[in-house]
Amino acid sequence: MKLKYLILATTLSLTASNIVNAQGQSQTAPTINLFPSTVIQDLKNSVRATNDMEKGMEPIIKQMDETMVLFKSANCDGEAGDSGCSQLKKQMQQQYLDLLTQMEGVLPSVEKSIKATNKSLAKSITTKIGKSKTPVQIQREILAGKKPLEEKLVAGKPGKLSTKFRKLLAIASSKGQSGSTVVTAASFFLETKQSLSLIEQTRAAIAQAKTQAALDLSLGTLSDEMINTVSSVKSILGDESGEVGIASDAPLIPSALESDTSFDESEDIY
Amino acid sequence: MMKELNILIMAALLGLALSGCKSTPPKEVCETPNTKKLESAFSTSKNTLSNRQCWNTFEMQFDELLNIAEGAPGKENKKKFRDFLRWSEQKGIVSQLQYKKMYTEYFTPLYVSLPRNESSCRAGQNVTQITRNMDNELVNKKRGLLNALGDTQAYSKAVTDRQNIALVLLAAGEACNVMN
Repeated sequence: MKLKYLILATTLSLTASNIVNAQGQSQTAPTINLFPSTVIQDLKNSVRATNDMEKGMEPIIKQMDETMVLFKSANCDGEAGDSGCSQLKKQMQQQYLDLLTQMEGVLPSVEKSIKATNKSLAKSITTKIGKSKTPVQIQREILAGKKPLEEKLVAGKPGKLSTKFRKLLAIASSKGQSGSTVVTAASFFLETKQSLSLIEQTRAAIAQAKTQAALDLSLGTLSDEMINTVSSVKSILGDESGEVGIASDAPLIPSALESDTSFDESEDIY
Repeated sequence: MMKELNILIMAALLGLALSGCKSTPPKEVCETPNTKKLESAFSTSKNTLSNRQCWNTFEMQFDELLNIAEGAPGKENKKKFRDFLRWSEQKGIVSQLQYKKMYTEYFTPLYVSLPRNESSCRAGQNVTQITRNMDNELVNKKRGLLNALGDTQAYSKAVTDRQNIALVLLAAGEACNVMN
């Protein structure tokens, strides 16, 4: 269950849609460009890495699903002596091991790309916000981003990682950067930081699960952990039927307001 | 003879002391509004504050006016408060800085409690305190924007901005730590 939690948490922490939700496309002139070409390039790499991860995992998941359907339709649950059922069980266990191995194999590249994005964003935020803007100036920047989103995205909604990165990339590349881009960049930076920590934990948990899976294979048993893990991995790949029970753990990113609050009394404001 | 002189001196001193007390008017002189009608309440407060000796009741007057406005919210109240605060500033009851701070704190989504002269790198190390200050300010914004003006949009903007500002400052603090 721990592995399931970690994988889900990793997925949710990487929900760029959360961040996208905070983005308001403003018609005002860009003031801070927090997404220079280095950040854009790192985001592109993240899109590629997550896309590769999904592409690599999908066939295994599909195979596992098919075997599971076969296993259930053959009424193999609880059938200890049936040689056909034993065969299916072994097949599923082997597929599960493959899944873990595949995941273990791709996580480093995903981690590497997120780490690079995290670092380039840290540099950008430090230079363009941290050292050069006061909190009051940040407030003014945020206030400038008051136009509604063209495309509303639901915070915390599960979906393919690569799609989420792609959406963020689209925002980062857009010319209409506004005050709320500051919030977008800040959110994404914090999320990548959290994700890196979760990926590290997930890798450790996968190693443990592999040991258990190898044991299951030798004993010919199917553990609940296996079923849960497969469900979790599915949610990473964007299968929305996967449980998302820990959505409340995802960082709360406030949505952009659609109101256009006017300040006609600027000379009276502190 | 000496005894009579002493009595006279003491009486004179007492008289002087009593005349000194006259600089603080009796409490009832500095009247606070006692009506539900905001227009008339502003008049009462202005009338009271026209007496220099009642200037120290300014905050009490403002608080009472807010209470009355909370009973009859409306966006038009914003101008009334602005005019009142501006009048108070012109009379010298409050400084221009105080006037702007009060107006911003109660009637706009902007936060006056945010540090104005320090970098966000530095402010990012102190997010907890800054957020606490914004939360305190938000209480006043609730009274002004929401309760007195009924401006839900502006108030929710203030709430959202508080979250966004805290988020950006937190990220700035973390990012600066990474880069240092």
